[in-house]
Amino acid sequence: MVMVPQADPADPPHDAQRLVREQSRARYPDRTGFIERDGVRAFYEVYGEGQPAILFASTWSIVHSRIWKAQIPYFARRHQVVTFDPRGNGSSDRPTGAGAYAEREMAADLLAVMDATNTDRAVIVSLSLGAQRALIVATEHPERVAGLVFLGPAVPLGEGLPGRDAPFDERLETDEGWAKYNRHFWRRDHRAFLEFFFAQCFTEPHSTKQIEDAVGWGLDSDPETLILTEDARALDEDAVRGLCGAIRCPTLVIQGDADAVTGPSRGIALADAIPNARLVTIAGGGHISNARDPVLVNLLIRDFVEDAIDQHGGSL
Amino acid sequence: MIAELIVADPREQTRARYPDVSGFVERDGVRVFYEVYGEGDRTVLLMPTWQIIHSRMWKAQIADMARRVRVITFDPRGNGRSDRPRDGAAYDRREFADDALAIMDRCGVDRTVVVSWCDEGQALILAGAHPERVAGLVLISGYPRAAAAARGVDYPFDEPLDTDEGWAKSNRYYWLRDWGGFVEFYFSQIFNEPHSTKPIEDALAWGLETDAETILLENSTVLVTARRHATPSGSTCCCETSWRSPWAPRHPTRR
Repeated sequence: MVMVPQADPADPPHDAQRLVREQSRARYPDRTGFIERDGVRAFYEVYGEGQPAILFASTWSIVHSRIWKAQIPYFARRHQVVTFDPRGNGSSDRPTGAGAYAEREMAADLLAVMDATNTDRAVIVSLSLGAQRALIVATEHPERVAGLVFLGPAVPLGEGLPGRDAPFDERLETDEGWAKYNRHFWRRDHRAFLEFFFAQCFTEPHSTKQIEDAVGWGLDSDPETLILTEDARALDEDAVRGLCGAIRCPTLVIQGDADAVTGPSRGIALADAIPNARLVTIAGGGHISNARDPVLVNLLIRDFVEDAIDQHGGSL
Repeated sequence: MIAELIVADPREQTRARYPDVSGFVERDGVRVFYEVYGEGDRTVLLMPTWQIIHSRMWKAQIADMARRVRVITFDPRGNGRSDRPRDGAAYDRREFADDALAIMDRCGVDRTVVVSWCDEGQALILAGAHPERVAGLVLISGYPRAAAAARGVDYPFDEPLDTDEGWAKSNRYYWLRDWGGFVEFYFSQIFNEPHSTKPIEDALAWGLETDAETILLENSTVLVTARRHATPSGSTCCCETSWRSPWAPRHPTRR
């Protein structure tokens, strides 16, 4: 009789402490490392090989690069895949000033990771707030960006989610719903905020696993760090419109029409603002489609990359 | 802007693979629906369990196995696209085994590996009565009633109870009152791991393709008793390992 263990912990493949206690992976990185800018280190991973490279950008530091776990093994079969942890989560540093979390710093990290991994040019796939750093890199370094894919972009275009207007800084009398998006509540009950937030991210049925994963990644950071990211400067509408108008590379926007975090209209507005962008709306889709509908999203990204190669005569 | 809409969740589930051949066999006026996927010298017959659900319970096996072997599934009498005979004797487990044999004959299959889940009586009967036709047996699980017994709870099936709590739902009168309630409870016991909402939802939908009246016909046959006796007492049900959601795959790991 053979006993098959229910769940076997992964052989600790790396020195990083995080990997020792984390879930096993479908694929492990071929290379890992850190970039350092102004004394702040950011952790990156490289999987597979093949052009064009696909860089999965960091997003809001509430999660780290494992948010891309359903994309990495699939694309690493044919492409060099690069991921990195945002400042404030994962194996990256947690600088203690809000300025370190500004979108321009995140964009500079992204570029530094491309340099460190010899990634001359890549398709950049971004999620939510990651859209802003992707826009910065694509406009300021167009020669480095072969294409852009935005998933549920968090940009100040279109309409925000109705009812999501509780003030972040004030002490509130209620913790209900989006009132949890509040500095004081984060300090009081970080986990409860994460559970609320990711329940909003994953409104689709059968999302318990995705929510559990994301809450776990959220707990890899801490409320004070998360508050710094909120205090950091994100881009305003004029800045985003300016960046969008300058985009010339192939662009795909994937937006869930049931997105309960940004609302569906921001992604639609972004696709409208970027010349020749293609918009795909997922009926019933929530905010993090890459985690909840990975097959659909992976095939959309694959087709986008292949179309982009065809249009550029294979020279992508 | 070029816009298009993709519906990720169509009303009817799509399949990873569709059958190459499907049809009915008919025995004594009862039609049984079968499907054949893939081809090859080797055949795997995925046996139906008791008629609470039908052949889609194998959906996580079919596509993978059909890459290399011929895979046969069929809906049990009483669910799916098979008939719902009104005579309890038609649900004798020997009839299930004979349905399997008729389908093998129709498909020109001399010998097959038989895989059963949970309700293994029909597979054992087939292998025992026709050893030359069965190349191997994979028996997944035990019978959930044994799990109930292991919990020390064994409510009478045929008596009205003053409670619907827990395994008291495994009761003729409750079934007639709220068949869906039983099916949902039953599969929530079978899928007791975290993140099992999808397999529970699937199974509930399949369970609702039949009804309590049809299921209860079987209870008049002696073989239901035989079926219960066929399960070693105290064994627990791990049926779900065969068709859990691909969102939470469980890959056996070798040490």
